[in-house]
Amino acid sequence: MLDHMGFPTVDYEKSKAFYDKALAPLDVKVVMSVSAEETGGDAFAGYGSDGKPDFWVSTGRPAGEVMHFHVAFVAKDRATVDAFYAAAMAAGGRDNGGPGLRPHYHPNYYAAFVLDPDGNNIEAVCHKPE
Amino acid sequence: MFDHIDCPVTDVRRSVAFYDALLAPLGISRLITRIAPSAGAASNAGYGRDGHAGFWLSDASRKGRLHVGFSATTREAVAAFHAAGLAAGGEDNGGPGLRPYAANYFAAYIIDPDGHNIEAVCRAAG
Repeated sequence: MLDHMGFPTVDYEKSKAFYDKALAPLDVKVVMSVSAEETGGDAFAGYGSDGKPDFWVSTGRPAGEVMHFHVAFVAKDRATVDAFYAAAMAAGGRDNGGPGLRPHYHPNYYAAFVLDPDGNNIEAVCHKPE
Repeated sequence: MFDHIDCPVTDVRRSVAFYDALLAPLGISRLITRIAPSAGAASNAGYGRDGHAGFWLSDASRKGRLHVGFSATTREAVAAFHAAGLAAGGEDNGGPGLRPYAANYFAAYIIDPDGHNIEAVCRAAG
């Protein structure tokens, strides 16, 4: 259903450094980069797996614009959720809920939540029983 | 890659009317609706296909801009999405047509009531 998403950041390099590390355990990495010179405006980094950029981080967040969104990435198993959380925290993310079951969503909802440098709520979730 | 995303809006009640119309041509419907009984409490709504709510709207007090692209199976669905968005009060941000991002990238863009840039894209050869 979702093809891709994107958002502007306050500090592009800082956000890229964060996502490079946080998304690595999910096998998601930068697969396309477009410079400000190429676009004539903002610079973009597109993260994805299998070569398709799905998650776009860019420059150009207007001063004073404060918006927090939430996105959840699929993790293939619970160990991957744990690795995502550890990597994101090591990369300067802020804890927003450590790895664990969230049975109020469903019995096998195993997730972790981290705030990115702009305060967005980034989740990894595994739905499989173990 | 994504499990779900949550898009902040200033008024879920207003936005569900808009998104109901906008996403219908893509076969995406509202699966879950939690409208708060009083002002000041947060409402949310989840949209999806095949029973999984992958796109959520939630009340948030602060505005900002997010870009979300939905997959469409045909170019006709992209055009219907754009027409539905305009009819529902959305702002044109690029009509249905091929874009140079990739071969067969046929997309249209609508600005929602909060300024979010919402796209439908068909990647199939036309």
